[in-house]
Amino acid sequence: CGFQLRGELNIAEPVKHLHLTGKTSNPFTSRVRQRFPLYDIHIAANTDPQAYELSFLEVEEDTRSLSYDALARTSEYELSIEVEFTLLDNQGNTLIPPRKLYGEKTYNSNPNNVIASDNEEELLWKDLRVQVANALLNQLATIDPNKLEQLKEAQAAAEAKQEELDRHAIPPTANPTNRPQ
Amino acid sequence: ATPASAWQCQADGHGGWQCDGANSKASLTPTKPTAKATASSTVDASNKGSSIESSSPVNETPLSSAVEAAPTRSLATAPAAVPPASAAEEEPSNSSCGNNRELDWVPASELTQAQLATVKRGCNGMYVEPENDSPEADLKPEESPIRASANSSETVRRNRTRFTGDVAISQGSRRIFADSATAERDQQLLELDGNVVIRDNGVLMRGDSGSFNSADGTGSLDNAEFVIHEVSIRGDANLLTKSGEQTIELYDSRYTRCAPGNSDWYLQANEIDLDREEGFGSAKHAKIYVKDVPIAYVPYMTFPIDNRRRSGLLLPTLSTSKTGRGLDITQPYYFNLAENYDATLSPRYIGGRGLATELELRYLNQYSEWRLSGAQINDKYEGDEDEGEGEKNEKGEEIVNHQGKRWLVGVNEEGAIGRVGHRIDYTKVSDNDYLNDISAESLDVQRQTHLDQKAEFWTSAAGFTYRGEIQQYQTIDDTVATPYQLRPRLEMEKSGLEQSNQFNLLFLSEYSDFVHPDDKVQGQRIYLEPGISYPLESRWGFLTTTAKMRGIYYQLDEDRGPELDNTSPSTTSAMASVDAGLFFERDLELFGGSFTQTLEPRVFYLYSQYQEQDENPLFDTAELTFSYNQLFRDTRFNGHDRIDDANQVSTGITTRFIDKATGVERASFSLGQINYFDDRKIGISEWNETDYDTNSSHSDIASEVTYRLNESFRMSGDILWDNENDETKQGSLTLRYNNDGKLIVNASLRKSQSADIYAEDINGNPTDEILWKGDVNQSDLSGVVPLNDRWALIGRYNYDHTNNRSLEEIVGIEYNSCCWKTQLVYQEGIDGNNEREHGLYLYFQLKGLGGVDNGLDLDDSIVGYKEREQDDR
Amino acid sequence: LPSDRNQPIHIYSDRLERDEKTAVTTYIGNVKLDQGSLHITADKLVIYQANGDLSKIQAIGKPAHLQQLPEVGQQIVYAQGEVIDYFSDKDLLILTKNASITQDGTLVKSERIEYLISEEIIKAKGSAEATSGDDRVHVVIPPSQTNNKAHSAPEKTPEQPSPSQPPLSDEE
Repeated sequence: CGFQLRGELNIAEPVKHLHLTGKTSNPFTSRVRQRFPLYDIHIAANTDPQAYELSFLEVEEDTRSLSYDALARTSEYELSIEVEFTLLDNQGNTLIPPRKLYGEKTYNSNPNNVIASDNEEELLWKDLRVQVANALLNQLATIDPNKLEQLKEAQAAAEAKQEELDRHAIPPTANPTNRPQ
Repeated sequence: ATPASAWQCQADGHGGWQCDGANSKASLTPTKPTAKATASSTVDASNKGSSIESSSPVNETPLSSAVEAAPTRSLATAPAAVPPASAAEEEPSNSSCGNNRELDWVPASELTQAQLATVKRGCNGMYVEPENDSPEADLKPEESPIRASANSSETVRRNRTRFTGDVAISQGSRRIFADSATAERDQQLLELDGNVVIRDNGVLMRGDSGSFNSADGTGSLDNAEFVIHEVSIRGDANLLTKSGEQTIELYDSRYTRCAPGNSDWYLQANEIDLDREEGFGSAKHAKIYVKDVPIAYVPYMTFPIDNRRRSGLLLPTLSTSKTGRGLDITQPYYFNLAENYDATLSPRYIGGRGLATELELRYLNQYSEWRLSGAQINDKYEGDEDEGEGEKNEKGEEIVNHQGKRWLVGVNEEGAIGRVGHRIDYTKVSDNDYLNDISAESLDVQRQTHLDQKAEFWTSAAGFTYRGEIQQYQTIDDTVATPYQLRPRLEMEKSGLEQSNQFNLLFLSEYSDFVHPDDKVQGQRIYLEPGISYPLESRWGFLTTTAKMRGIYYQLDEDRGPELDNTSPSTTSAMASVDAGLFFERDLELFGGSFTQTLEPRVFYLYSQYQEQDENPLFDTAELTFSYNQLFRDTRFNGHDRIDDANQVSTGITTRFIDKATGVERASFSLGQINYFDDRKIGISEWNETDYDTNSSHSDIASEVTYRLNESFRMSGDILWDNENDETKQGSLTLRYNNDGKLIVNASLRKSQSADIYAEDINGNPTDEILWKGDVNQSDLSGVVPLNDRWALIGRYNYDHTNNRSLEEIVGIEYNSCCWKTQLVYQEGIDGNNEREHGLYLYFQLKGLGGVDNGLDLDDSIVGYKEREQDDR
Repeated sequence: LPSDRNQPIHIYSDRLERDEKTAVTTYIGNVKLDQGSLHITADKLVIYQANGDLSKIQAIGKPAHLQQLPEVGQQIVYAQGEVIDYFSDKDLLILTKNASITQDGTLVKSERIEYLISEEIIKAKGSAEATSGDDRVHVVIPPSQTNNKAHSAPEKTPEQPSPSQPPLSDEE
């Protein structure tokens, strides 16, 4: 029925060199920093001019009661995570427009053993962050290398036109200003 | 051919200006106030109000500016000593025909699709900054040449150039227009006169005359009007000065976020300072006018001028008091004490109880972020007549009357010093019913059974992660057990992920000291989990074998708790697991989209040696919720008081549909089950072993489904199906629709089986009469439905079908104008005492002056409501 | 330069016509005039003399160019225009039609520019019947070096103090 084993996760070379911006000091982005190197995506310093920019516009984690038992005590909790991200190249062109990733997990709360419930919540948060980090990887993998090439050519053409426009704007006679100090 | 200059502006003959840049979308057609045309010699009673025929039928009186004594201004910064403005009394300004164009206001009908998406709720237009098509449009002013055009110019001594006649000057991103201008070349100082317009990084400033220093972006403008497009703020002032690139000072000024022509509210003050770097403004001697009626005077106040979360003056919240006697009114005051700490003080009158005060302090430094909250009340309420002392509430709790001092204290902190992260989460209340009786929070909060009181730290060094915490809970519900306290818990774990195709050492160790206020078993416990794993991983599959030793060693107290024959029980057990999975893919054309469908079979074999554990106490262990994920975990417990006995294999399969173009996972479906080769004996009942039914050889079938139609519509569901006796143990279905906060609809249905609650006879042992049925069968419908761009309905209906009662009903109506909002919400539901309560909440907000949403907290009741509120601050 | 006046005038051109009656000399065809620091190039140059002295020079070209060094140590002034008239008695230069003048890097362009050389006053005016339909004056003042030094803003504005990022992996 047409299934064959999955081939390589083809993440375009330049996309393997990212620096993270936006909401980057939270447990989710710590997870991203930890897992991305496994797929040889290098998280660069913010000052690296070559690195593409993965910007986290929103990282929202919420815990909510889903259902209540007969004594109005929470019987199920829902953990939900919503991450909004966008990917820009090192010139600031948008490769992936702002997009949202979601993840939800539920667990049975145990009012008589609150410590156990807290432990389970911590465990599910770990699973959720890994799940959304993987979904983020799938999105990065959609940037295929030749799409990047076209973008570079379009950019080079635009810059050439701009220089021509500049040269035209200032008439040739104006000599460079070497003002007497 | 003429060089591409920024703007050519020609008078278009009937008092307007037609300026065409190369291809500007919204061409700048400022309309000169007609007063100019009459060239009257008397003091030009300049028209301050921009009375524009607004769409709303109410005849708009212009922004009246009752100018008191002309303010004395020390204009250290403004170079030209400006005489205090003559008391320009307000002349009915229907003479001037300044239209909205003057303030860059573009009605919705002329906006592009992209712009329409960013129009703020309740507004029928937005401020649009005209395109700047000068070649250096996105360069910093100081790095770009000054391009000027005028009808005529005169340069004297190579230094001073005077332009006259529709002067248009552009320097990088900055653009300046005036009737005439004089440029002093060396100090880059521009003197401007007549219809001065200055556009500088997202701000529009207009005035009669002024000066501008293009070296450092400072300057001043008389009789000014201004607009900050991004946050749609406008206002006017007798004098506007710019003391820096990002700061604006307004003297004798008015400030509002209402659309031009609408003055539903405005802030009038002697001095308003706007700091766009910090994102907030401050006003001295401020008066708030609503429909031209002054409603508040504040000697000093601050307010946010961008979307960074900072609040300003807040309007009162009104609701019916839960005691059923009168109203519950809160009037919060916000003090921005410094740019890294602020305070919100909220005096509150609760009908039937008396006056309460709530205070929240927030403090930020580079190590951590603190939030201290406190509230107290001297409660005079003697309780309901029909519930005397000593009787039981619906939950079966003793009814206690808490007259006198009642309080809540909260400390929240999060931060890091060097590589050590830390967090404090401590809340304490004076009595069990405080949250239920006093707190104005959501029903969710009122139904809380425990309050966290913990401090934790974590760090990682030399390949290990260390965590430590001291934790206890304040139990505010008599029907639940008081949990153990952790004094402390310390954890050390080998950090870093398992590297594939090589041996990995695994190590987890934990020391915890359990203390309990009652006479229960307590003591210390050490848990060790050394292990080794060998993962074989590649894109198309994985095979991971893991082996671990798991050991628990107790040192229980002899003098506290019951008599124990063995005070240092211990258990050690070996465990091995093999986790194997494959990833298949195929391309698929479906409903006109091209997808990659994956097929991910997975097998997980788990063997864990049975060890006797009936001498082990039960401190923090419970069974993990059974779900598809649980199939592939190497333990069915969380906490470390029990070690699994297991000889089982889990099989599961997941299929995903990934949109080829965007990489978005449109749908996924998973199904799996565990087959037990041996019966499981270890359970979580204290002091005895088996509490599992020994005859079932496999678990329920666990399945999960998710579906995402587009950015707005999502669906998810899961089912635990017991194929032995053909019944659904647990099932849920959730639909979520949210198109960027405009229309929100959530619908969910939840079913799960759990034990019934039996009534207790007088000495507390259960009778066979069922008090409440245990099964959960609940539906929840909630949402925000806009009626038009101003009115919206808010609602929720959360119904418990097993016990035939509604857990929460909300019906609300919201009116959103461009610059203010009001909400009237009726809420009825089951509170923390399992009793029905209801309340009516009325809430106002002046948009632009900030508003901590002090109305009814609907964030937990309606999914998506929180984000909707955040982007309409 | 003020000293240009008493410098010899050299004029080169393809052809020359002299009308004694009106004391008008006309040079035609890639005309070049040098007098000290004053240099004029044009298609046609007409020199008017009154009682022996030079009263007016008119240069016509598409456009005609003129450059001169006003003072030692200052920068050369470049001027151009389809018609350039120089009135020596008033030391006045009038440039018309696509006129432009560059002084200390500042470029002034319009239909008609008057330059009182000794008093160093440049007046520019647009005119409605301009050939190119542009009746405005355009001035381009380069970013002067003074303000680049004035304030070198710190490269990265210090970020609002936010808790430093918690250490890398607080779980797993």
